[in-house]
Amino acid sequence: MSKIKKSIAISLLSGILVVGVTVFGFAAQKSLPSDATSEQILYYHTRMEAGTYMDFMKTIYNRVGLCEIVWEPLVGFNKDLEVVPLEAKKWEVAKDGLTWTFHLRKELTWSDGKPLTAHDYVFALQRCIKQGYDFGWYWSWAAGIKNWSKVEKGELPLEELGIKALDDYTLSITTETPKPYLPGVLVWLYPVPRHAVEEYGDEYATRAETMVSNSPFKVGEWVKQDHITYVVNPNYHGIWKPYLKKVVSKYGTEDPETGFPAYLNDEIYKCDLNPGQLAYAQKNIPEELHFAPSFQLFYLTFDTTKQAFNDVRVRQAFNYALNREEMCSTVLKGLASPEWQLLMKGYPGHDPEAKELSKYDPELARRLLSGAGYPNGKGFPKLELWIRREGPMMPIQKPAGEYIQAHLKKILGVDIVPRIMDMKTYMDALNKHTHNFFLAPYNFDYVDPSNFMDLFLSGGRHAWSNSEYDKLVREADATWDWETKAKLYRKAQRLLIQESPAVFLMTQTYSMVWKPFVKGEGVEPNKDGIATWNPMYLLYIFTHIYVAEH
Amino acid sequence: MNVKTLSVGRVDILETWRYFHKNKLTSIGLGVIFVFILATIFAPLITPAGYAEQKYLHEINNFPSISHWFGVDAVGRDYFSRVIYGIRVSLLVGSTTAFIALFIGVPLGALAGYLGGTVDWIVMRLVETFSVIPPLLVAILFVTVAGSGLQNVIFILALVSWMDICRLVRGEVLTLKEREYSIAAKAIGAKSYRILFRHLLPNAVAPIIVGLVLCVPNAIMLEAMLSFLGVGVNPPTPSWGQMISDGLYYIQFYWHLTLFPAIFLALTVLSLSFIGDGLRDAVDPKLRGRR
Repeated sequence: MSKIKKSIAISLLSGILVVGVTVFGFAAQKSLPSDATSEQILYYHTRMEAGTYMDFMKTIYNRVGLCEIVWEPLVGFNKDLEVVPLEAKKWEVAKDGLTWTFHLRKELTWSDGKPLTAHDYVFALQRCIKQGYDFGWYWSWAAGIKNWSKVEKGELPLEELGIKALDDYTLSITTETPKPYLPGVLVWLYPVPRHAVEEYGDEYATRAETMVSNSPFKVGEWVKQDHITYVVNPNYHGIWKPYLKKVVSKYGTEDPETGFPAYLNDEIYKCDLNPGQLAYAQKNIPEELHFAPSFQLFYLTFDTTKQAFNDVRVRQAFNYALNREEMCSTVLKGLASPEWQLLMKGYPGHDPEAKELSKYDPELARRLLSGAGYPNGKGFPKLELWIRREGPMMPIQKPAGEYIQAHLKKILGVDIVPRIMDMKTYMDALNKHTHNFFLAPYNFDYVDPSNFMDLFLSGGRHAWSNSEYDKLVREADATWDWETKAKLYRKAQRLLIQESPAVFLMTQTYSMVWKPFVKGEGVEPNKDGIATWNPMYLLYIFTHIYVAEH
Repeated sequence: MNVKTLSVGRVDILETWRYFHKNKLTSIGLGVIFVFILATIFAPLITPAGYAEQKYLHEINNFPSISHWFGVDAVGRDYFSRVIYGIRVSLLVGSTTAFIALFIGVPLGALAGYLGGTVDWIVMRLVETFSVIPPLLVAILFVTVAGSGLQNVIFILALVSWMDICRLVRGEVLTLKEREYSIAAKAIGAKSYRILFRHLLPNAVAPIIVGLVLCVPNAIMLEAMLSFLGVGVNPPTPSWGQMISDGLYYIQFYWHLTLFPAIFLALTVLSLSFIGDGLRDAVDPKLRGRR
């Protein structure tokens, strides 16, 4: 038999198989496009094994591997930022706006074939609160789960927590205050396989043999310090069925410095880029380049209770003195886009007119500063601008710091020294207000204005406190009608710009390369023209791409 | 001071110079440092911009060219200016550190060697304590507590580099105080401080000078390391260590950002080491004529 005939025969056979399997409802995969390879192996990078558990509900910050693709949440975001049903097929909220009922798909099972029920979700959050979860603030603050802090302190029993299983397939979640955007918050709610935890303890999520998960992929092989492979989960009965059959992720390829050579050598199919590599890619492989703007905002923040910054004119002077557009088109070219408000471009609640209110105006800035008693920066205290030390994926802070230093000196005659601090010292000083001047990043957790607006509530991250702002934001938070809500937030944002407890500067843009033979919706731009999102969308991406012949 | 021979302490400068400049490597080292010193004195004349001026925001990361000899860095500054002004910082840090180390090391060493006994014991334990602490660790700790900046860096570097000179001086004084002239001075009733400063230390000048010169490249290297780790000199003050560290991001494509500061750092440290070696050979009569 000739080669062609052979391949026709094989594809016919596999076609019959696929059709057969689909008809009987067992298919864990979508049928492949015509230009796809038959192996469907994607080589991907992974962070070094610094983490511990491959379990989102055990630890967020120390998770290991591609957690994002082995776990499927209750609901998810598609790439247009719309909340879509995943494990839950529909949901409704009671009239009081506090109690939500989620109906799970009845056909759901774990990767070991055991049924997945609402009890696994209840168990997940109960275990979090029992063990002291590192993302606990999210469930108490952002989601506002009823009785979270009381149960955490031990004042109420676990059963009083605002999450209950009404039956095997009905999950009820109650919040302290009305949270109109709750489904968007629940994109971080994953079930935990109670049976596996009871049998192996939390360590079930540290090796391939005992690992149980619920997504289209499961762990196939887990060789510590070398690689992890993920294979199709035959027991997946959800809606995001993948094309890919296997994902191989190799250690030591996460950082752009090591990843990009591996990428050029076809060892991995996607790689993040550092600024130097970005310029190279723009020149040499522009068709492989993808930009991912993120909802990661950078801003300067002051301790408004301390000398110099307790004068609103000083804060406004800083606001008007910074030329964000120049900064983002020169030292941060391709790495960041300028921003003038807390609710950044593309984020719900964004106010297109706000930009005009903090426009670059060196004359006004100088006038304001001399009005505050520091003509040409004379007598202004010497400041240290604290910058948080980050991994290699945040290369924009240091050049931004140096630009701000040079620029403030030029415009206002103010001396600042950028200083990179380690994470813990930085966060302690920020939260306890022991330092007065920061370049702070904030990354979104869910898509609702409250995620960012709550940052400036009294008693939070910043020393600034304003009762009118608090009132507006609290009221907006519990408002169901979007128009009214947006109006309230707009008012609050104006207040923020006027009072300038912070100077909003820019959002980070991630740049990466994907091999041109990786195709599919997952790597195509969304309705806003943005291609591929950050890790939050990884499950979406991985279930919507395939490897074409190359 | 003798009329026929120009000398410092008991070191004959003219004779030393004769031996010193015969050594080729030493002469090269001296030449390089001389050029560097000239460059740094006339830096404003030979560089197109100040080291902190972000004048070339639209030519970021440009490669070396006629208008920018070493290219432009990632935040729009002329790289040649930064590297040249970096000489200032490095030499300043190196020489100041060495002098402070001298002022800590010499008196302590001399006292320890001359007085002996408890004083010696205490000083030597002090030297050992400082020697076993890894300098980088102390420096990082200190800078974290007291803040970074040029003064703090120099202070901490002096604190971790005085021990060599101290040990050297103590050893010298120990042997010199047993010499006949020293005993004779004692016998005719000279006071201790007179013996120490008039008879012993002038004879120990040779090793002290060598120790001093060799201390400079070590200090420069340490400063570069600290700045590389982000706890050294504050930006925008140019420091080669910091420039190398910043350039690492770009090394795959923008090689000039790491190459030039690295070359200058290597040249400076090597030249100073050659000078130190040559000086040691020249002032030590026992080593003369062996090459």
